[in-house]
Amino acid sequence: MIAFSSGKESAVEYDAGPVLDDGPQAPWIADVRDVPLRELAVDADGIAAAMADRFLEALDSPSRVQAMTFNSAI
Amino acid sequence: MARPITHYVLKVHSLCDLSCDHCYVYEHADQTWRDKPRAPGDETILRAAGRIAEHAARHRLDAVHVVLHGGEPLLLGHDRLAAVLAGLRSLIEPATRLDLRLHTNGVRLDERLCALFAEHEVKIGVSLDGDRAAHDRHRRFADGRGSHAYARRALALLRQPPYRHLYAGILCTVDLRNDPIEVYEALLAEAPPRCDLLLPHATWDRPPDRPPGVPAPYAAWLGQIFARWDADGQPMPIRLFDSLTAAAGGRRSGTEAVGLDPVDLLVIETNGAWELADSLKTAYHGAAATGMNVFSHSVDEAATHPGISARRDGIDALCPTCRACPAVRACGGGLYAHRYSSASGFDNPSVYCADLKALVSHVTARSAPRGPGGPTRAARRHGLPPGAFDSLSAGPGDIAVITSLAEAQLSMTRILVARVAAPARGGRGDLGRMAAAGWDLLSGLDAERPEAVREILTHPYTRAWAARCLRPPAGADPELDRAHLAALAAAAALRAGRTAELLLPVRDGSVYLPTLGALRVSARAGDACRVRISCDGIGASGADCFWRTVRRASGGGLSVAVDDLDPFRDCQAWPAAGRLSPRAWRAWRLALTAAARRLGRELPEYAGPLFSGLRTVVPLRADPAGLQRSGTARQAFGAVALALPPDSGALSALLVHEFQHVKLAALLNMFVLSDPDDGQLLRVPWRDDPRPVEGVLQGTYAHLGLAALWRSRAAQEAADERARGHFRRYRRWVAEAIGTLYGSGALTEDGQRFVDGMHATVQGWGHAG
Repeated sequence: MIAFSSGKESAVEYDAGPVLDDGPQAPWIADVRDVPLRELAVDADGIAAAMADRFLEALDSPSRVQAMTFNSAI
Repeated sequence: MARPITHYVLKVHSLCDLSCDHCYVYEHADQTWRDKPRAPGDETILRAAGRIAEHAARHRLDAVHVVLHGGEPLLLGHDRLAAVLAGLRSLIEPATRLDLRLHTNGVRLDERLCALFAEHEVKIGVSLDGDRAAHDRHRRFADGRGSHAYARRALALLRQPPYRHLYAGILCTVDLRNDPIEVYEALLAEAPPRCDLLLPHATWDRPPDRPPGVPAPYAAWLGQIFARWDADGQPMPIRLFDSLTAAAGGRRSGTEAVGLDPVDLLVIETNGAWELADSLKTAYHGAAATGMNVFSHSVDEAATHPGISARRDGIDALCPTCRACPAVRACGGGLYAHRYSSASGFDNPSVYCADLKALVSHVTARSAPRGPGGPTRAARRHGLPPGAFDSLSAGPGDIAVITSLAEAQLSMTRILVARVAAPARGGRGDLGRMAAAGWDLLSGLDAERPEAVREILTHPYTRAWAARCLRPPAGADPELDRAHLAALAAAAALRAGRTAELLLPVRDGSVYLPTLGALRVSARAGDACRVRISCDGIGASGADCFWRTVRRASGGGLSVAVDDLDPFRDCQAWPAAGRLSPRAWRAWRLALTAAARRLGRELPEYAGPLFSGLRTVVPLRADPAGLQRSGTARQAFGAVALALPPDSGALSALLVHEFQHVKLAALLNMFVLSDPDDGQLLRVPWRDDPRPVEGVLQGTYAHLGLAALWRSRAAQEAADERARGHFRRYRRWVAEAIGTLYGSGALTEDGQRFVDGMHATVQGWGHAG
């Protein structure tokens, strides 16, 4: 609509979506979505190194599965 | 009783004194203005006011809002406007409070009219598209003269002390050819109490102007204004940004343009017809018509029109693609008119879908509270919403779970990309300089245009690339791989609408921009190619360059990139296919959309999360023996790879199978489900070779999804013994593997809980079948 009008009075029908804080936590994955990439590269507090090392160790571990493949006539 | 209507647009003149070439009333699909009277008669105004008052009284409304509109409402003239305003006040105010407004191009606004509007407390909005060049690009008189000076004169009048309280604000229609910062500054100079930025009306039949190769140019344009406005301390309210922020936070958007507010608006035409929102006139001739009028039909009757009722069901009224999109609460599918196509009506995402999605990401990212610098900023940890872990372990999960998984994966990718770029890893020579320049640009854009960088970092094969850089496989060229930082930066710059010139690494005769495409160049592998990025796209020197885009398959609720170009996509164990021929691409596109439609029908509880989280499909080389072939790489969250199977039923099964791996791999990146030091290998019914515990978890979870699919097919196709047979077999395989997992002794507490969830699902299916 091409016009200004004041706020509508209709009720809110939908909730605000998921709340990340109230469920089970993954204690080793820091939320760095808002931490600038430049800060992560410098990694003064070592968080980036710890997370990256853990992720990469999982990729290297023989007990972990890196690529799931499927090959079947079904 | 139906939900009441509180907002009305009253057309008081059907003509205009300007001849703007972007006007939806005269220049778009609907031409019904030709058959309407120039102005409403007295009886029409009285009946309209009576209907509004009657409705307000019946629903005990605290207030109603009436906007006088056109054409150009001031063409009605002072005396007729005075009569209309008096009639509205006298008939409606006994029933409820009346908020009166008028929207004008400003050409005829003068002191006498302002005095009239002050007398009747009519607030005034004015259209202004920016500075003179921007405004006069479209808003011209029939003889070609611009109207910028008239609009500014009107705004100056409204800033005068006697009328300042009438000044409602400015509406500005976006045109990509205008400089966004100059437009912003021109609007700000008018000191509006509020302004709004409107996307130009467009539909899938009549798409908006877009420069080639730029996926979300309107988001890029608006993003520049948002960044400047935010940096300025948000000196004036901008409705589009405020509405997106409010809707993303679960509050009302207060506008039709975005959010999921139920529609609360009727239009009264000059002939007394009840009509739907004016913007529908851009869709097709007669799109806004209801067939009802103020003489014969009440507001309640008009509000029963499907065009109203269909837009009061919130998210349920949207198409499957929108329902599955994490941005839907903010954008709400965009303006209803912008969803239209003659092929499928309004059951589509907005034609501005990519722009809205990018803009939502940008606005909400910047609007989120930011903590102080330093380590405490990273103290917050990723987790899952309440119930998410159990929802996932039961099989399908839901969209909220997928969103949470994806956000955690994004943090991980940011860490890995930053590690690749860390100063200690700086390379030497041309490739090292290429990487350094790319990092400068990428990290700068991350601060200024985070939504553009986010699009690149959530690309599944960005993390696959980063993992390869940090753990180079045999035969890799680490310096060449690391130089891909420049390609990430170039893609982000293109998405941000930024201008940049930089060197990109050449691989197989192409430079590749993640998520966008590849430019074929006349240079050898390992060489550098200088490219120019601008809002017009990408260019390089050399006559024989040509661009190949990353194509998208959209339909049936699914919208995915089919990436046959990314140089780091070949990490699923099966070899990736090369560039699809036009014929092969058509087959892929049709097959994916058919499979999506089938999956939406057969297994909607799995389809929603899959449509929400699957970003990329990578074509694999076909199996020489004709077997089905698919794969998922742990480091490429959001992607599956497969060879095209023979039919949509097989393809939807492969998608379910592989997306189970995607979900579980993401969960395994967050939670430890089995003892990582446990080296035992376990037998499973679906493979000849024994598998590690994590492999058994993955296979069990994938077959749980397949069992659910065939259970649904068996129920829908009761006579199909093959479907029942598949269900029985997959259910048996899953049940056996669950027993093996329980008996392994290798499950952690979380792993036990995950297997319990799968077990409960299988138990719920019983043994009949």
